[in-house]
Amino acid sequence: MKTLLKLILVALTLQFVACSTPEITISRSTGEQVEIFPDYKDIIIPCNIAPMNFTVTGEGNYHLIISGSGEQLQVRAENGLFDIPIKEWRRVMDANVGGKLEFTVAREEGSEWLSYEPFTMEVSPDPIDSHLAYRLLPPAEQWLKIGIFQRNLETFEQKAIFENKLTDYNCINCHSFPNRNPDKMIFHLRAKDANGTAYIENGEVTKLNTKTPETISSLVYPYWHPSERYIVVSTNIIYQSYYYHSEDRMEVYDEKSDVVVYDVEKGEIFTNDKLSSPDAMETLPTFSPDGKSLYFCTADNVEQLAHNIDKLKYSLCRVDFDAETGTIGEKVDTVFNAKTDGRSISFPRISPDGKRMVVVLVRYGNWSINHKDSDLYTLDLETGELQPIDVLNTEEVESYHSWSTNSRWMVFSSRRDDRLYTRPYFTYVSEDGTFHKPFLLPQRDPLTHYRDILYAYNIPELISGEVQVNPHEIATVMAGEGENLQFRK
Amino acid sequence: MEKITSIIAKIIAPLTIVAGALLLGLHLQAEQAYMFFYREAQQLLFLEWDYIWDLMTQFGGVGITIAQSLVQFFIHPGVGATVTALLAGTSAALLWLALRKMCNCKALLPLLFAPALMWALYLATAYYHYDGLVALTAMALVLWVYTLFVEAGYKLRLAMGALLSVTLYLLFGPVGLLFVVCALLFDLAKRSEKWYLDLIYVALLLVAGSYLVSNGKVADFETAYGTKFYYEFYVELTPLLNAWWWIVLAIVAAFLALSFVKSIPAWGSALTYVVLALAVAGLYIQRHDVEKKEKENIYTYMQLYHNIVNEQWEEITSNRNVNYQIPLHSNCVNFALSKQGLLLDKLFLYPQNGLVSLFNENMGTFVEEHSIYSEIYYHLGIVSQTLELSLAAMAGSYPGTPLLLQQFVRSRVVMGDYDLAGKFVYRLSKTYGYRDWALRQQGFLHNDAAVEADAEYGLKRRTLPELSSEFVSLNGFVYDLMKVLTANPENNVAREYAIAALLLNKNFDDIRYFVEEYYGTPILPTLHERLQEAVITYAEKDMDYCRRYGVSEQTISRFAQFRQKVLTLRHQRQTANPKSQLPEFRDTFWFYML
Repeated sequence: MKTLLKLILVALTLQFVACSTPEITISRSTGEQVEIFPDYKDIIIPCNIAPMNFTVTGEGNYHLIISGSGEQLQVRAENGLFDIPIKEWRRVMDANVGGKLEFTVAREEGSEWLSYEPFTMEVSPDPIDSHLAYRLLPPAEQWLKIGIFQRNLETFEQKAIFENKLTDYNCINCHSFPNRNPDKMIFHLRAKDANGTAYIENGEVTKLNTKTPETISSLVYPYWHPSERYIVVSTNIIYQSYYYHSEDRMEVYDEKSDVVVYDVEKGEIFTNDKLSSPDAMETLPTFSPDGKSLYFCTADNVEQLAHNIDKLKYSLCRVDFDAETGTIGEKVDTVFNAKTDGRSISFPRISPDGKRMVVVLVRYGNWSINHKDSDLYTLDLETGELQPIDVLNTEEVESYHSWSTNSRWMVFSSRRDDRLYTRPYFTYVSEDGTFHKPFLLPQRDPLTHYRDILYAYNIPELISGEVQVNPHEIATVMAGEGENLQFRK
Repeated sequence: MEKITSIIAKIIAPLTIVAGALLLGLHLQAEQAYMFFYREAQQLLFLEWDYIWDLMTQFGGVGITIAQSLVQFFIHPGVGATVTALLAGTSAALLWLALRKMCNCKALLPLLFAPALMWALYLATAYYHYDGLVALTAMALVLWVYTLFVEAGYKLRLAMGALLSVTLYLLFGPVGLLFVVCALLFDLAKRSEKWYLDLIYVALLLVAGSYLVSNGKVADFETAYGTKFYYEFYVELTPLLNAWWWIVLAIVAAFLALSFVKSIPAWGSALTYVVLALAVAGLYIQRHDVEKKEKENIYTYMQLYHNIVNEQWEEITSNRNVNYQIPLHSNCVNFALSKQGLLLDKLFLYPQNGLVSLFNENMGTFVEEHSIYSEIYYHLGIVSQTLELSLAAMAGSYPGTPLLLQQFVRSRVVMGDYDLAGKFVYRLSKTYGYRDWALRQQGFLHNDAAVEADAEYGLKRRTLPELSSEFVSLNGFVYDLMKVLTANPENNVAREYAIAALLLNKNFDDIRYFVEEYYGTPILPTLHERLQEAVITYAEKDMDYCRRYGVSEQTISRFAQFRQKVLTLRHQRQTANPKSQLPEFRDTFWFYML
């Protein structure tokens, strides 16, 4: 027994010695730029973000020196990967809030260490919401295994909110939270025996049957009112087709769509002829942060739509909304006119401080995640002026976005890395509205993770904490009868 | 004599097991060889530690990992049958080693093959996991290990039993429950000290299973505790599908019952053998009958799939099991003809039932159909539809199949989406069976010159229509064919398919339009003999027209012979089955029109 204990002690000591990184001294600089994945050079990061691990994309032995005010951290690369210890990272970050961290990568040459040109990460004192919720699904809207997951942005922990393996691998639709509140959420399931909308409040699950005789479909794309009493949501008849030959490869489009408002307290949905016109398709609604305006995208019906898909152009309109009486205004303001502009708008999202709206523009349609030309723009709500956010846009898709509680961070979807697998990127937004160079969601081993994953990150939504709900509870409730929503005429 | 009897007594058990395994292996190889190829073709095991770790750490994951590790070698002929026979033999041997301690009744020995035999029969259809057979073998192993502790005192026995049952349950799935029931029956037969405390094992599994279900790790209690775990989720479980569990329990129960009998008379042993043989045969026949038709269809499909993947075109066109009433089967035969460049030459030598024999536009939503049709679309150069169908098929087979990933790579290379193609090339390079293929594709990535110079990729790329917002598959199969043929008239495969489609449709307005619009153009520089036959059919009274549109004198002469013979047959009132009187015209469009 004593021998065994001795062996364990020796093993533990060896393990400790092996884990501690011996410090190096740099002999000289090569003056070269280091190639890394992800590109985390010269970015602004939130003070509470997980370690920004990255890989040097080249052969050799590498060492990383992270230095800030009074703190230094050295990390040795394993196969090019710098896996920064989280406790050390937190210590360095805490000591440099509001300042800059300098990252110096060195390469071993014989007995010397030669450094590349250092790069920096500015540590913003503005924290980001602690969690990111997203759907993981194989791209091009196909699925066998999909689920809604939540990732702790301060660590690398990912947990399932719900996976379709619990309900016979059905489709799971868009999820939504009010004001980034993790205690309430809604999402829809399309399953043989568990079809319906899951409404979750403080871990309690309610099944809603949201298709009514008066509406064309179940509730599809939701957005919560800031009061958390209403959810504005579209109803859509959706089709999917592939192009013979187009950079966009495939298209998803509505044949019909309307916008309705769901009154959570009364269990009823209502609309008016401005949001549910038979001559137009209304979709992708959103509320303003003060809850007094309801924005929605709308396009005129197109004859033989499948043959004229490039004529499908969405404008952005606004109506008043009175949360006290639950009434939708009759006067429609056109904020963005697709007929005059020639482009099509989707995903209007206003920052919680109400200062700026970011939208997505494409040549036609609204399934921007499949449009190579899809880019993010700021829209001045006063003048209607559009400005492309050049620092965020690339030649590939930039689309669905979500704001942080403090309006200083925005997460958006991008296919810039391989054209098909959507990944979440984060950008810092200065007080003056300047967007800064985005960075990819950190992973413990980002190169391997993003290379190997066969899922796309879909609908990234920032939330202020962890969603506390038992997936089994969701599956059990959704297999039951559910509550029928009433349509208020 | 006594010595011989003693030797026979010693070797009868191993001999029976070896003979049983051998017979099973031979049977499987003779009857189900393509099933094993198909198993392999439906899975992807990435040989990377992270992937395997994820696989292993799910409920029953070790069983899944072992099963997939074995199945990846089924790509080689004979390996599937051999491995399956070995597993069946091993499980029978381990069950014997364990159960003989209850009752050394060799008469029951052949019955120990029954559970594995059931599994071998299940595997003949497409939707049962190989994990089931692996789990059965693991259960037999654990049961044997457990019996080693039967004399060790009840505390050690219980400790080992608890450890083994929970470990087996977590690593190999619900078969753990089968084990604990067997252990309980075993201890009852052995009158083990405090045998009833074995119920602790059941309680432990109830706790473990409840935890897994209530935390969303496993879908439901049926999956956590039943045989459903070993089948595709959409399979409706029938009593027959649960039979292997009941058979195991029945065997153990039989050993338990016989453990109370002091000695079995000789006639009793003989009777037991007869009853067992009849039971096994009855089960086999019942199973065989119930799924005979289904098996024939599916098994033929497995053959066709294997032949397509391995480009064995002659095997397809000479397959006597093809059912020409099933569009998918006919589609595969015509696809194989096209691959040999014989589609129009031999089209009517095979039974055809209209356009659906060439291509079933109303295909179902099964992975199998999507996989095959995406392959056909790729062959035709309609690459975007290949992509759509392979993605649709992927939806039913995460993380996909080797063929689907290969289609992804090929489609993306043709379209120039090299980063994406590279992603799947990398994934395939981490598999056992497709590494070499993947490495060969690396030379095409980000290398337009290599792609364009390649016979296959180059032709497909030149066949891509102009960039536009027009959807594929919106106006029908023939329109799609004309779209790519217009883009690249050198696409002879699309041309032959288009002509075949027009002929099979028997719509002379369409045929006339096609000939008059395109004859003499790069799309239709000459008229194939079959198309000449169609032209002369709708314009038999205008030979100048026929000659103007490329009908040869030989075809005109042959038509005259055909016409004369048909008229003669009519005159002789031999019209009941004129086709039987015209064997020399079997290859013609006229014969098809009769």
